[in-house]
Amino acid sequence: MNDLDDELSRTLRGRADTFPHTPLAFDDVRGKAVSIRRRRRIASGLGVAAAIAVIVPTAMIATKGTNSDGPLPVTQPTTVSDTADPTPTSTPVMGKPHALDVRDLPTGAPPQIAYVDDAAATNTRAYVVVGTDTVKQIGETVAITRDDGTTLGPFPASTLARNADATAAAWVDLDGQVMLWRPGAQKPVALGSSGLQGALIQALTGDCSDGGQCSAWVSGGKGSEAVSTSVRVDQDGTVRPADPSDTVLLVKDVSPSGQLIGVSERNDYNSCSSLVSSATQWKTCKHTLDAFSPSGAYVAASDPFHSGNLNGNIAIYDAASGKATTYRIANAGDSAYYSYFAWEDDSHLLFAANQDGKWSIVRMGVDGSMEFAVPPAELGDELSNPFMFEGNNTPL
Amino acid sequence: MTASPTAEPGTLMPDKRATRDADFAAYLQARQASVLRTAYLLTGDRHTAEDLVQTAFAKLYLAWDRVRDQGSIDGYLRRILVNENNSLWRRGWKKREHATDEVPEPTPVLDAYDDGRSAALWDLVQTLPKKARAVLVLRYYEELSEAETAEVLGVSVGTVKSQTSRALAALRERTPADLNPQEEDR
Repeated sequence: MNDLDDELSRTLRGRADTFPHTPLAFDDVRGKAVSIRRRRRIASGLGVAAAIAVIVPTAMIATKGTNSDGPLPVTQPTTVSDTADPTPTSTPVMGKPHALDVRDLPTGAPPQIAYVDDAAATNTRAYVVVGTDTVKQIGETVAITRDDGTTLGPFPASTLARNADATAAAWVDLDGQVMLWRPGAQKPVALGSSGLQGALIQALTGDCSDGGQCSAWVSGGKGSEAVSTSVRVDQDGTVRPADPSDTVLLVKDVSPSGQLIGVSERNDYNSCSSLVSSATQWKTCKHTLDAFSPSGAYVAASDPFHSGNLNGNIAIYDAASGKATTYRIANAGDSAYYSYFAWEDDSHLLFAANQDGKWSIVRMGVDGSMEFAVPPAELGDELSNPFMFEGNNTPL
Repeated sequence: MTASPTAEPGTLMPDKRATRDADFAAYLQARQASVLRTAYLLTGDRHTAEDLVQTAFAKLYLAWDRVRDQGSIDGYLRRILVNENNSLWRRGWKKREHATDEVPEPTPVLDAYDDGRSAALWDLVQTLPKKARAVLVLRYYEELSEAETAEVLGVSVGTVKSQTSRALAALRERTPADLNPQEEDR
């Protein structure tokens, strides 16, 4: 050790050893545990056949997203508007959830999208195939492997995404700069700076060819207070708010027709997500809206509050109506939890599940039907997700 | 009735649950002070550290049977603690909440020869990104090996090495020269 190493050890010990210990009671811990478990259940509306979304014409909406610390609705019906008299055009109703229990499922066809089963062992955070190139994120770097076996990189990166037609990949470096990779290029090109701290790329949309119009959708912290926000970085370098209506603070995905989904409100215990488009808007506080299906017809959704590595809620919403076509919830004792999901096609979602200490890939239809795409196997503990799908894995 | 491997507390028979809770309470009593100190170094904030520790122990409680059977309780708890603190979901939002304390931060006991360098170094540590800070806390406070640190963070040993190197380099750039003879020599 040199002087700095010694001083660092001494400093940390000095700080820690004088930190006053406020005793933590067992009842408090158990209460928190019960709260966590209950939150998973309540968030999925167990026993609550409540309206989950109220749709109003966008023209009537004067809502403004709030990153509120105050209470958010949990079991109450939610509306998208804070106008005095919003007139809903429909009030879809969510029924009771089914259990997220993946024991004894039939085994169907293997995944129709590419995946790896050594993500934890190799520290693979994401990988995409664009043209004949594979762009892989290992830890906080990306490297490009061309079809001739040559590699490029590594380049610093927090997150990685590709566009829908798999003709370009993009990542955000640790300074918030958006970098674009097109197959055949000599090197990545800078698209522009998001200007955000802790920036994450959430989606890459459009035609990213020379002269094309593509956009990177990036979330992160803005300003000295790191206020959560999302921006759109266009191919010409223009940076603008991701959601001009300021409803969605944390953009999660963008549909082919330009609809946005993402978190619009959040406190320490829950969040609400919204779908925003020029034609309609709806909101739910039951789930986080994470990923559009390829056509944009459906939305895959996860826990309303992400805490830790695994999720216990999974749902699919009809994007047009805001009604959940299916949702499942992990119950005590006999349930699976999952890490990531990805759309296999427009009516099937794949998710990497852990139950009874085994990992599997489960295929879930928009009607809630399930089967194994990869049967359960002992591939590591529940904190070590082995599976990673090609493309955009969510939720992060 | 035999509890399934993934059973949570509410699914156990009362006598079994009582035994289980007693075991957990004993572990909580024995380890909480140490875990809280680590949490404070990870977060740099008393309120956030206490919240983090409570959440980590609560999640451990939910997984107690499974983890205890594997004999890896300390490691599992440490992983929950670090992962929870590094959670992307928390990033950004937390900063906005101004998690300041009404209770003043503790005043560290300084070595007799310390002329404020420790405070300066602590301030610098707090400016590091969460993951870099976690690496330093695990390596220089918890005194874990590179392999153990990699296990906690769920990354490769190479990543731990590079993160450590980068974090130390960042500190060196901004640390007074008398702590950094390498700088003086250049």
